[in-house]
Amino acid sequence: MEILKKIADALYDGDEYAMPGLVQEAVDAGCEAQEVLDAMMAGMAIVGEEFSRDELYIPEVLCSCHAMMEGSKVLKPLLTDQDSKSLGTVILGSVKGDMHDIGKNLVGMLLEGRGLKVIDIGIDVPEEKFVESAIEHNADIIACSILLTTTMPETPKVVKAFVDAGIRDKVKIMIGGAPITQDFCDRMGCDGFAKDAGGAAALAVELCQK
Amino acid sequence: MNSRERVHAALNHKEPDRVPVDMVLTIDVYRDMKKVLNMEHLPDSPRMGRWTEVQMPIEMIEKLGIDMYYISPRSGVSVHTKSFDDGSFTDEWGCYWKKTAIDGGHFYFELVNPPLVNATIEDLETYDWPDPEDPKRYAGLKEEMKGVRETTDLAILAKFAGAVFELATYMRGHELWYRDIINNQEFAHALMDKICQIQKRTNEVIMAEVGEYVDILRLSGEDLGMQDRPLMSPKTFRKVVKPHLKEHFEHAKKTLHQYNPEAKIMLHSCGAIKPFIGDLIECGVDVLDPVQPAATNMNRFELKKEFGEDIVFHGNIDIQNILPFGTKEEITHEVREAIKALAPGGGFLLSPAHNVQGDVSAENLVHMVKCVHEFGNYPINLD
Repeated sequence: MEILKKIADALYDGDEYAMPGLVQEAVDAGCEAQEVLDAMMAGMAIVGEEFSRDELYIPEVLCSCHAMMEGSKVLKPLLTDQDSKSLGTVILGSVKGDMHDIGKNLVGMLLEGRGLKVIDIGIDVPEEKFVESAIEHNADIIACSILLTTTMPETPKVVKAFVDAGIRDKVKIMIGGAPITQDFCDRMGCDGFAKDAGGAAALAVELCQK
Repeated sequence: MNSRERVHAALNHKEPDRVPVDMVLTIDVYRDMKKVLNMEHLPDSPRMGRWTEVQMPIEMIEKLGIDMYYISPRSGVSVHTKSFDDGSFTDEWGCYWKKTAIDGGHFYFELVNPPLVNATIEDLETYDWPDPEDPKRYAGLKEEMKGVRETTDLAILAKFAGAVFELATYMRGHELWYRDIINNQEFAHALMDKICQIQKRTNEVIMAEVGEYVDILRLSGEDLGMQDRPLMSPKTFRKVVKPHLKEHFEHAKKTLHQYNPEAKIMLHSCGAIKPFIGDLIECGVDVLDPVQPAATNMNRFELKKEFGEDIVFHGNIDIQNILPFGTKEEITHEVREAIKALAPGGGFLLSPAHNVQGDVSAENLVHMVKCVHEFGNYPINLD
């Protein structure tokens, strides 16, 4: 349908202000809520992939994410429980001492765009809070944002907290942030690293499907 | 050559006797440096800026063997200015800086709760903006700079007014501001214009006091890059941000030259910013800091080849991997590579690629300086 194409384009263009009107128009024209959501999610997947290929920049991606959020608000009351079944649950937070949230938020929005349920537990999160939240929400993945060299030492503490709680084998640990490398991830015994938010979303989907 | 002559030669794209070296320490590494250099008599907390950077005493600068004295900006006072019991504070723009503990007993100030998060374009007219004429900004500055000039041979690197684009980021919050520059451009222009006019006047006021003592004016911190790409597309940069930076930089340079025609302007801009370097040169930037080597497409040999005739590089010693986690051999290699790439023909001031944080040992920094003294002598002849 023409309107679904318009929605996909507006999502790609990050037109957050036009999105609610377009989604409403699609619903009024008789589109199923799930159908509209799928169109938006397909658009988000392209945004994430292009970001991973260095073809898009943060401001544009943020606008697309917000367009997705605005559109989803219109659809939410129309989606059934069956429709909103997620691929998996991710606990997301910036580690203790790290006040940075833009990278974390971007990862969160792209994860939601790929159909995962995201519990954002904020910034400056101590390791025990990651464990408590993972247990409370029966999480598949915890994703830790680490932007500073000075907060990298939090990583082994998080891993150890999951070992000590006896749930390390039940929860996958993903890490990311400017100073993080695959080598660091491997040395810390984490399950996954992605160099950017698009890669993190793809990785989380892959980890949930394992 | 003395330090100042060395720096001036490098700034004018001429080969000095050796590569000038510089660094700015944050409080924790400064304390470590006191121990390593056996200078326990020095003050434990010299004047500290918002980034926990400290005013390194001249005695330490000279013992360490570096060539520059960095003067960080004094803050003004406004209705927003406030200190809290936990060490956090609100600055004159209304930005709240939360004192945050870091592993190992260190701390940093992190920006939370941006003040203009709900502001409309109309609100910008009624907001309590800082007063650029506030004499607190230059209290004691003239005596200090005159003292450095008269009693040492050090070049003076000074920072007075703050940023335009990056300050807008602080005031609006990163996420909202990045959306503003795409979907709310009228507001974005209005906010940057407001800030730019205050910064311009601030520079005028302070330079009338101390402009004659400045060798390099640091225009700060317009971070335009992330680790793996620029913060925005070149198209957005040129359309939305560059006009304001150009206005600010050209004005700063013109004002500075009224008092010291030989002085240069330096821009600090972190990250992968290669696509913008040509634009920054066009905006009048003489010196680029920190030339972050671990960022994407910031290959030092390519940067020198492409921009080396038009801009001076300051920084370039990796502070994300090598200085905090590297071995002495890796530091030696990093310094040699930076010198080999950037020093030929002058135009290079070597420094860690950021204010040095508490996870770098003072010993590593002493080793870095030693390497510059060993390998940085002209003519450069490194394999």
